[in-house]
Formats: sequence, C-alpha cells, structure tokens
Amino acid sequence: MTQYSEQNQKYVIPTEDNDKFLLNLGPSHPAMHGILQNIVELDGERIIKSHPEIGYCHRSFEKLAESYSYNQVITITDRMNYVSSPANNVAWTLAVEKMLGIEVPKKVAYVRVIFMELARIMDHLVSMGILGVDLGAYTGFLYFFQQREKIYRIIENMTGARLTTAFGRVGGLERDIPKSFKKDVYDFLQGFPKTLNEFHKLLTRNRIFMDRTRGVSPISKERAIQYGFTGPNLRATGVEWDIRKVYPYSCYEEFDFEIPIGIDGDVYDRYLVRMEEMNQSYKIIKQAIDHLPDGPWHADVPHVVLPLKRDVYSNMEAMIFHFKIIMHGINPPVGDYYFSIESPNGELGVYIISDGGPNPYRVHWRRPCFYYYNAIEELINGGLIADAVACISSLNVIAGELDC
Amino acid sequence: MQKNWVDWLKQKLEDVSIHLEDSVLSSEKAIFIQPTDLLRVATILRTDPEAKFDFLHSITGIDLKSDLLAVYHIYAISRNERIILKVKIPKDHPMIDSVAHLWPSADWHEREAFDLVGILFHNHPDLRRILLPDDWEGHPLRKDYVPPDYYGEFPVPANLKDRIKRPTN
Repeated sequence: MTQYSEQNQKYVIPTEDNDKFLLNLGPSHPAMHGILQNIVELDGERIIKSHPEIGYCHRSFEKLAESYSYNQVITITDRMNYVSSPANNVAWTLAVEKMLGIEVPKKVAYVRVIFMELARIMDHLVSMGILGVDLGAYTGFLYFFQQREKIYRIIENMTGARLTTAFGRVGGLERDIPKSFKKDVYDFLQGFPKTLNEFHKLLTRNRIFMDRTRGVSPISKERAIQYGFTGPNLRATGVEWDIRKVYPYSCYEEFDFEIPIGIDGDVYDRYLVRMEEMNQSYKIIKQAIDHLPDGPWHADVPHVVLPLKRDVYSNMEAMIFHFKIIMHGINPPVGDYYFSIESPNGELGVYIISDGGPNPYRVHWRRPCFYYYNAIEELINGGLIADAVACISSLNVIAGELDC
Repeated sequence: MQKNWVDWLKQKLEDVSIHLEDSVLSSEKAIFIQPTDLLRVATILRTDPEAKFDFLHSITGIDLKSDLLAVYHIYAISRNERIILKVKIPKDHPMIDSVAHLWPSADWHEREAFDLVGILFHNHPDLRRILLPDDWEGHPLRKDYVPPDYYGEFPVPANLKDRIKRPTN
C-alpha cells in the first residue's frame, strides 16, 4: 500500500519563473472554523488552487462507538456538531429506537422537536453571527449571542449541561421536563422575533454586506446534488429537499412550516435561507409548546429504559430490569439500519450495524460538513482570499463533525 | 423501492450477477453485486435517463471478519427513491473500482474507507489517508486491528488501548 503515499509532495513550489504565492490557512487560524487546514496557491489575492486537508480533530468516534453501549454513544454525538448537540443526540436515539421498534409517547416526540428546533436556531445564530464577524460586522453577533444564552438556559435546565447535552435516552427522555420548561420556552419565543428583525436591519440590506456576499462562491443545483450537499446549503441552490418533509420523523408531519429555498446558491442565499429557517423553527416551536401533550416521558419498554432509582430499591421487577440493562445492555436485532434526520447543518445520517450484542458492530455517521468541505476546492478556486473566508463560514463547516 | 430496480438492472445488464441477499447483516433489502461489476452497475444507475440516481449518500466500509463490505446508499433526489448497493470484497485483494468520477461526493468517502477500513479504490484521483496521519500503520476499523504501542515517540496510554479493543463475549 506504499504506492499511494508518494503523492504527499504535490504543491507547486514558488520559483522565480512563476510569481505564485503559497499560503497555509490553518489548521489554527482565527478565520477558520475549528481546526481545518487549507493550503492555497495564490496569484496576487486570487486563489488559483486550494488543497483542503482535514483530520486534525479526528477522535475516532466510529471506533470508540464499537466498544460503547447504545446509550453511551449519545455522549459521543455531543462532540460532533457541538454547536447543535441536541439534534445529534436525537438522531442517534431515533435510529436505535427504529432498530428496536420502539414507539415513543407523543410528549417525548414533541419535546424532541422543540429541542431539535432550538438546536437549529442555535446553530444558525452562531453561523450567521460568525459570518457577519468574518466580514467585519461584529455587532450582530452580540445580539444573537444574547438569544443563544436564553436557549442554553432552557437546555441547561433540562439536561444539566450547556454544550455536551447528552439529551434524551433510547426509549424516551432522561427525566421529565422541568417545571419551568414551558415558561422558559415562552420567554425565549417572546424576545426572539425582535432580535431576528434587528439582525435583518443590521445586515440583510446592508450595502457592504451585500457586496461582499452576493455572487460569491455560487454553486449550481446539479453540482450541489452531485457533491452531496444537503440542508440549507442545498436549499440555497433552489432544491426543495428537507428530510422533515420527505421522510417525516418524530411527529414533524403534524406541524405547519415551510421550506425556504434560494436561487443562486451563493453566500447571500445561504444567509437568507438560514435566516428564514430560524423564523420557521420559531413557528414550529410555538406550535409544539402550545400543544404540548401530557403523558409519560418515556416509552413503556422496561427492557430498554432504566427504571427510577427509588423503584430499584423497593421493587423486585425494577431491580431485575436494572440489573439486566446494566449487565447485558440493549440488544437490537441483528441487521443494519440507516436513519437520517434534518440536522441544522444538513442531513445527519446514522448507519448502524448490529450483531445482536450490547455494542454496535459498526457505526458510520453521514456528516453533512464532510460534503461541504469536499466541494470547497471548487467553490473558492478563482475567488479572492477574503471571499474564501466568507464561503467557509456560510457553509458552516464545523471541524468536530467533519473529522468525527 | 417503488420500482423493482433489481429486475430493471438484470434486464439492462444480462451478464451481471445481481441478487437480493437476506444476509446476516441486512434487514433492509439491498442489492448485492460482484466487485468486478460495480463500475458497470454504478455507471448505468447514474447515467441512464430512466434511473438517474444522482445523489450518493454515503459509502461505508465494513469489516465482516471473513470479507470486507462496501455499502453504497444512492438516492434519486427528484423521485425520493433510494437504492442500497452492497459489494463484498475479498480481504486478500481488497480492490474495487472508484466511482468518484460519477459522484464527486464519493471522492472523500473512498479516501475515508481506504483510511479506516483499508479498501483500495482503483482509479481514484487521489487515494491518500484523510483522517489519520500519513504515516499511520494499519486500518483501525478492521476487527483484527491491534493498537500500536507507540506512535512516533509517543507511547499510547494503556487504558486507551484497553478501551479501543472490542470486548469479546
């Protein structure tokens, strides 16, 4: 296999004949989102060719998952897209539930929808705030982080953590929703549209912002599909593709919302699509919290959901199930299963292969960022180096998810 | 699958052995093909105006202990149709054709499968390691992979080695 390692030296070294300039962007660079590397060949300020390199944040999650139990893997998914971890958690729990054939109560599905949509808003707040920062508009970022803090408070009340949420378990939630949950969500919903409007006023029709983003690094419908784009970045090119509509999961078919699409697939369209998606998420959360049903916070599957501690000490049956779950784990039937959700960043797919044991035999994550960064070469070649920075932040490439 | 793509493929490519296999590792219906036929099947699925599966979702490399398996999830985005291709690859010569020229999204996926599972892709434009360093030895997602004692001059902690070993029942 040594035949493939000879290509390491593939960059054009600047000589006196060619006035090219070789610039190493990253892995640690303020304008790179996380530890990404991009070696670009420059002619003046124009990028002739770029060589993206990834793997600086690789933590071998797929290998690690093979020795974890199904509920432990949830903690791994936190660390993938750390900007919107609840959505990753739900993707995993839903996939395992599908394998086990568990139907969760409606309340659980609704709470999950609320958290996934909060995660979407959180993700878009960060990515669009940072897009502004990368282009020199720092103010909007601060407006957005105020709202993000409110979401973090909701998540903290529910899970006890801010970033690494480990939200939900296979078969339901970890615990019942806190008493203040409804009030917190309504509080957030009350203040959010105002902030969104203020951000629109700051950037959307801002002459400098438009000049910097319109027509920058566009991608056509066909190319985006071939490159495997999903989520807001695909919708910005004009393709109406949303897993929430195409293959509804977790009661999404009960909510009334629209899929915003763009036209040109450039940075400005990605910005507009994400901004409108936040508005739609707001609508979904409002519907879900208004009609939040009462009921149990986990499905009635004692061989999957851990019993309450006080039952374990007083109830024979609960103790037996507790022992069995801890010692033998959750054992999905033999087979493979692919399940995907519309995560804030695109289609997050989980491909699980089970051999019937307590650990997955093999796990593969379809991470949306992986495809965006694959296409980065085509997107930024021929453009200015300042536009490349705008392009990367508008695609919302997150190293933790990319390298997995 | 709304349309029976297996019959359709059999009609188009008569000399290709295609079958649906209810193997140990498939609960969904997947199309099993021979490694030598992969390029022809992929090309017709991608380019034929009737099929036009334009969206490659993911390529997963799996070590089945006896063989390696590559799983292709392919979509036709305009029709919401999905097809799953599975290719069993012998371990002593783990080489199949690359499909990176059909779907650009396959490019990095194949590099990933090469890096972690050790599947070689013939005619891939740039088959290098993608996630691990270039001087890494072995393919970690193989089931017989033994973690090294040292990476360069750095010792690998013993507790880490225990953790990444798969517990056997």
